[in-house]
Amino acid sequence: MSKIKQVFERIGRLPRKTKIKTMLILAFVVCLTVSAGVYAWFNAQKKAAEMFKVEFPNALYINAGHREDRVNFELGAIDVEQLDGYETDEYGNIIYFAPNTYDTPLYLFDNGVQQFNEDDSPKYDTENGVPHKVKSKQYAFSVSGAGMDSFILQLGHTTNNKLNYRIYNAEQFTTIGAAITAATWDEVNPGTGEEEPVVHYESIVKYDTSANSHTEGQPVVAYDPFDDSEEANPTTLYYVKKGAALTDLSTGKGYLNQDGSSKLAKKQTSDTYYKETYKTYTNVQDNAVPLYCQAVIPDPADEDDLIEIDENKGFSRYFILEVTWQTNELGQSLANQSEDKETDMLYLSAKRN
Amino acid sequence: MSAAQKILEESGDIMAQAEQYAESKAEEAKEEQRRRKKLLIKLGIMMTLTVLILVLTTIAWFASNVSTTAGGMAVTAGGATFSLATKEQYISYEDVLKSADSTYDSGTEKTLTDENGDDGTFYISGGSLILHCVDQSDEDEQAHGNKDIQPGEWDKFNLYIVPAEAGDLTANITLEVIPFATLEVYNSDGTPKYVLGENGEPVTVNGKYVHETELVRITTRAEFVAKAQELHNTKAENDADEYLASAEYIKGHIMFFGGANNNLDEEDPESFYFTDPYTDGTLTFTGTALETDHAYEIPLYWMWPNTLGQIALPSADGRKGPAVVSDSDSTEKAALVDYLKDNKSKVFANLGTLYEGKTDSEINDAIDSVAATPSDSANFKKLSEGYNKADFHIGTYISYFAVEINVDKQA
Repeated sequence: MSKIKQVFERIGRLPRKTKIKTMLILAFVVCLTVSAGVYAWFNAQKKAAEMFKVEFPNALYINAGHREDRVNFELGAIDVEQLDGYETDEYGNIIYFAPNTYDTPLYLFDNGVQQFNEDDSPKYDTENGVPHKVKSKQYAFSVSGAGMDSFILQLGHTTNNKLNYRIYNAEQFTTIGAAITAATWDEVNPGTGEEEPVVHYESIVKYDTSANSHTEGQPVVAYDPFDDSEEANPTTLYYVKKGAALTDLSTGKGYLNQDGSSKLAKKQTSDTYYKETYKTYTNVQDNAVPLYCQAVIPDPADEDDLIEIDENKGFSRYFILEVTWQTNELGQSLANQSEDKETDMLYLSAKRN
Repeated sequence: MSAAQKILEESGDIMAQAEQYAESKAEEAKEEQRRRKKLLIKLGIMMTLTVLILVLTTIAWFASNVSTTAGGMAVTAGGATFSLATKEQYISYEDVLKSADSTYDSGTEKTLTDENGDDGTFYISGGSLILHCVDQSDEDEQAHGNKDIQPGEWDKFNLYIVPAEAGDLTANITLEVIPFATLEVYNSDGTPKYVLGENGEPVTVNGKYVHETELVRITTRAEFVAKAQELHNTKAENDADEYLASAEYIKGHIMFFGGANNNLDEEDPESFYFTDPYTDGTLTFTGTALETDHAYEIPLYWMWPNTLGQIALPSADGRKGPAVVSDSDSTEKAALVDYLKDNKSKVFANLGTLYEGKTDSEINDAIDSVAATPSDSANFKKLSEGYNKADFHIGTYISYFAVEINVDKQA
């Protein structure tokens, strides 16, 4: 009590100005304290929130094998001889390969000495070696993307060369052994009449990877779901055909504007595809009119065929484009009839279904 | 004068003196009293003031922090607080939201009466509430509530307000879209950092190592770059501008509405549209004669329009998907067109390339001409390209976004 009295007396004794200042400060502090209490009392803010995840955009890319840049998808030139019979060396001799390899020739040795023919071409061990049939030229490509469960694979091509085009599903393998296992299936041996497993070397496509080319196209999605940089980056990959052809010119499967049974496109201005490209113009060379075919992936008729996706809804599927010579009604290859050099243009595209 | 008279005089003087002395003493005592009184009054005022401050602070403390369940402490005064509540059982990405902001809780179960008078199970929180939703998947997964969003999707917020006192209630609500990116973590030497198991070895899922990632809220360029550097993610650092642009695009593409006409008829896409667009991200909730322990719905929808045509085109001609607002409501349609004009840098990507050399008002004219009848197809194609490109950017760089709803009671 007395202390308080003392304080007040002290205040009372202060010079006027200081007294006023002190009272002001005290009043201010009191006001502040009171207002803080009142503010907290009045200001009632509440928050609510919900969290959403953004899915990847629907992206679709066509790339070369190993999902590399499209630049690495090369069709190149096709030799007439290459699409017929067996694989041959530069001397024209059929090569006998070591079994269970992709391209290791089995040369003939006699007591450790390699044998040669008169023209200096190497002799092959025909007893132990296996010749590889070459009936076609095959090219591997991939379709990958994110955020969809079905797409349409399309091929458009001109018909200057008498070639058949087929697209197959393909599986990727990192070792030749696994690829050979996948390419082995039973066939009837014409000699014994019994079924025995035969390795179809011609179903295997070897792909040499290009360094630093494993991309998905631009723009790059935040995750590359099939980034295999953690594993040993393979220098060679093998693709093996799987299942029946998705599109086939020899049977017309998947083709949209084939003119009857001929291997040409319809050239009528009433045809949707011709009209879209040429309108009413009719002075077009028969073989320049493109043939269009497409296949829905996955095959709607096949329940087991699904696009497998990873946790980011990304997927990647491989395909093989197979090019062979057309055959006549007797089943004979038309390879020998084509002596002129011709160029065909092929367009591969993928569209979201 | 006789001696008796002298004595009388003297005694008279003495008496007078004595009276004077008594008077002065009495005055002194009175003064003393007065002084004491003043002191007492001063003390009294001080004490009262102190007590008042203490009481007010205590009230403020109790009233502002409802989670301190002082049951029975019916501290009701005009302007008491409220709580937010939500309905349904599942939550979308609860762990991600909590890791981004740990002050959020999923609410405690409580039975409340809704506006129709029916009792329902609600989840109420006195602090920051995570909104609930219905089951999103029909698969037997653990994460039933998780919402994975693509352009074209929309949904409703299950947001309710529970007053703490009967009467009228007005609340100002602001909406904010908060974007997040998922950045991969690298070591300082540039090699990827993998998630390690308990034994210290990298964990494998499906034969592959799992790259460690971190959820990063996208705010300013400086903060994002600093975070990317912290994670040694040089690609993210170089793409910082794309991340920031995408953060703006998601803010521009998520639209909020107060109502929806839900008659989605496959044959007639026109049958579905939203109403009451909240184009500036704010709305007001007004309730009259509200009761306590009642949950009042704050109707709120969000939509991520898939195409520009859904927002801007005047009719279904050339439009893919249902309109965002009804074509016949010219006010709301005009509000959306104004929204596009005012936020064009957040809605369209690459405007600088699409409209090179054009001024701001020229681009506004282009937007207007798309919304006019007949619609300008050349500009529509350009602006559509900008809209779709922005969507693609969002899908590429933004991995999560949260919608934060701030409810402020009007005093």
